[in-house]
Amino acid sequence: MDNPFWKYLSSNKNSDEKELITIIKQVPIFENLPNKTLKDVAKIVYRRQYEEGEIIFHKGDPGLGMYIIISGKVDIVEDKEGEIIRKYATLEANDFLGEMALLDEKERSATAIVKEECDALGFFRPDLMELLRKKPKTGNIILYNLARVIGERLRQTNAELIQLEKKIENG
Amino acid sequence: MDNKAYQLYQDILALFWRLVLIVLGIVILIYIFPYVKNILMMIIIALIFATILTPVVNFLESMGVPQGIAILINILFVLGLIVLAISRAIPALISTVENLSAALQSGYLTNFEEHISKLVPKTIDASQISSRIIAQINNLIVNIISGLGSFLKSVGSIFATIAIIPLFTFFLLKDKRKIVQGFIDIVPNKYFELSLNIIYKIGNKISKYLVGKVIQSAIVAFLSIAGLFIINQLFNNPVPPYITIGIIAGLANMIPYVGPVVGAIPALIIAMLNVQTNLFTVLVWISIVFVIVQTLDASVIAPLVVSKSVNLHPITVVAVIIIGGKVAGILGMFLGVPAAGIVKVIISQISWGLKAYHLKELQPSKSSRLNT
Repeated sequence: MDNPFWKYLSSNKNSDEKELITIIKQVPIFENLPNKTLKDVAKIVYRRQYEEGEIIFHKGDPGLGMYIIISGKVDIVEDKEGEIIRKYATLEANDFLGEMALLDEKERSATAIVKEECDALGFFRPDLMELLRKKPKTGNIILYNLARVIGERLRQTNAELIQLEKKIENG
Repeated sequence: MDNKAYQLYQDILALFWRLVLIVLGIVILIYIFPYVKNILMMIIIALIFATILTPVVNFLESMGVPQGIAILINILFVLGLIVLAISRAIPALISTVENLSAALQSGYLTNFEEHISKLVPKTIDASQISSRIIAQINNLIVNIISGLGSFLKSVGSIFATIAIIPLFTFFLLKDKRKIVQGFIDIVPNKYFELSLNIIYKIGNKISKYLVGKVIQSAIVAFLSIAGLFIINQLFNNPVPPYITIGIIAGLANMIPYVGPVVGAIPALIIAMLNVQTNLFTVLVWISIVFVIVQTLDASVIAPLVVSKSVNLHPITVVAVIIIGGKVAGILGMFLGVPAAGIVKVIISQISWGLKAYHLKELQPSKSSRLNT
């Protein structure tokens, strides 16, 4: 297998691969994936650098996939007619956003705007679907992890809702 | 100058440069097109092959076959099929042409006149009709031969084509992601998700359309072969190269409206040469076979397997076939419709993306709620 031709046929090395795998490993959605499988994921993510004030996605855009923040900060905001009217959260390194878009193409529910120069990884639904077709085992682990993450978020939202209801009841 | 006027000036300037670039691009394209026509055709063919083969490569990968090997297996299989088809079709075509010219030279004209005089009322001059038909057949043979010549010329020499198209197909399949990533890397962040979504959608729709077309053509070819086989059994073998004719009918079916007629004509001509008795009955049965196949295709096969989003207007189809024929002969006519389908998908998806995505910059609000 030392022949470059066979190497080309059997592998697709990338210089950033190791660094990407280290980052991807820390994201809950890619937990429990073996190293070999993480390589497959590293091949299908897109790395982007954003300047302060740049929009990652707008509220109302068709959802395409999720972003993992490697460094920098991202504000999740609501905007109306080109103006920010509310800020929901600030996300930092190792946080991720837009994961619901891995499930369907429904509109984004908020706008993500870069607060501090940001390095991010994009992982998109069509690539997840292709992974599910090509490597169903890997795709299933990712989907299971995604379901866990969304379940956890739902639990948190329920808890916050109960707290809010109590607050309203108590005046 | 106030801000609004300055912004308008900037927008007009940007629009002006965009128009200059588009016009310059078109001029350059027209100027260099004759030089890059062959390589462009090879890339289009390779792209079509790569798109059609992608689902099969994905399937093999899901079975654990390494990607490179899966692609090699597919390309070798397709090459094998093409060699097999050519090795069957060319001898059949040559023998048909030989038979036809032999028949024309050996007094077949008299038999033909007899056939025609049986088919038409006595008041009509049968010899004139038969002479016209013979002349048309002669023209058709000349057209087929010159068309084959231009087909081979249009894609460079056969040798180069055989070597280059599979190579392009291989790299398009192997490095599809790298090619997309290379393009996406130069797209500004503002258009990143928009561009990526458009690329995914275009790929998906074109793949469905082309794979659907291939399945449709394969079914039409199979049904035509089956129908002609039955006619051969019933009427003492009037269409001996029925497999070749069926494959031609399947391939011609790729071209809407014109294809079905092109598919039926060779079968009718060959039957006219081979049948001595009951010619009218045989011709009617052959026509019935092709009408049944086309009805099944239009009502059952096409709606099931071909994506409706790529439906082209009949006028567009005819225009594309004429332009394709002018640009690259038979190959151009053949590739024109799928190419127009691809262009339609690209335009519709870009237009969808520009409407669906919000591309405006945001202004920070002075509202106190911003920090909640």
